[in-house]
Amino acid sequence: MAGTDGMRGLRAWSLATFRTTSFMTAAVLTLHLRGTLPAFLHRLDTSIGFAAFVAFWVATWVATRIGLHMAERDAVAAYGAPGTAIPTTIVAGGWNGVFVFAMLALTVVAAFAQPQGVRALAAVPVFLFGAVIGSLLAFTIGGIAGFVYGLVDALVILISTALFRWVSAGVKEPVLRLER
Amino acid sequence: MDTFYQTWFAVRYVHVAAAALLIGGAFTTGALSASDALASDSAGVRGVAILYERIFWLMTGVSVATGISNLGLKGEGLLGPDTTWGTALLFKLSAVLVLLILSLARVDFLARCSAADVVDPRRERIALAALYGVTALLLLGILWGGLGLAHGRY
Repeated sequence: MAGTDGMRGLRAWSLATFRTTSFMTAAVLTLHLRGTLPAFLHRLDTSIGFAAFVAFWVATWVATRIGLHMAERDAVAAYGAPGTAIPTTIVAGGWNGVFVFAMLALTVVAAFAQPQGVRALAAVPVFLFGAVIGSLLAFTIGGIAGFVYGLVDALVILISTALFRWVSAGVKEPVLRLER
Repeated sequence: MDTFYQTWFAVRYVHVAAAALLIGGAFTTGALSASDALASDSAGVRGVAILYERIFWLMTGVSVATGISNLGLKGEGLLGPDTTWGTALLFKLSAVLVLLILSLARVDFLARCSAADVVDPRRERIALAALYGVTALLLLGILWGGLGLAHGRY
């Protein structure tokens, strides 16, 4: 039977895919409106583009799970009322930014180190400094994106809550148990 | 046929196949929700809906990835926002965003019904039928836009 247990994995899966696909669609839409979409896509190879998409999807799934864990740990009814999910989406967005930055940084490091060989070790302190500063910036930017997603979540909760209230016809609304 | 066209064909095939699964699944789930045959089996209808949602989100990811890839493979055929083609693309992408928000609300609604001790089964089936019906209609509209973009309608 499809009960709350069956919904736990689906919640993280649907939220992560929603965030990934809506972010990508909004990015394409913005580039299209600015007239820079052909130039941007021209720089991407099909296989590299797919790999980047999948990597972003996985990173978002992990970050979403972190956000859901945080909500449960702090006993926040993240889906109980509009707006209560915003702190968790900010944290999830921040981690998502760090994951994406880490993937980009590793790609750059690998491209730099491969032709250099052992001599690349001399650049380790520079990379470490860059990694710290870059991670902080990425967390902040991701957190801002997470805040926007928190507002979207609030809108979604408003819609589903209204529908659920009509369906439950006066039955007291339960607080969902979130994924552990 | 060279590698470029083989790749493009594969990308478009997967994109269209994903759209077919999304539309067919939404229509089937909506029809099952509306059917009197399952009137006494709320859990069964909900189970079908949850199964569809798992497939929906997988296929949505696949569809968006192949959609962006398809745009990239169009090359010179990718026109700007000030053309009718560009306006049609703008409408299609906006409709996709609306669909995604509606779909997240659908999952949240399912989660609430699953966690509830008691719901009105008749109203739940009406709500599910409406949600999946609107989803199917939105998807058919997006498909219309996509086919128009691919075949020079705009």
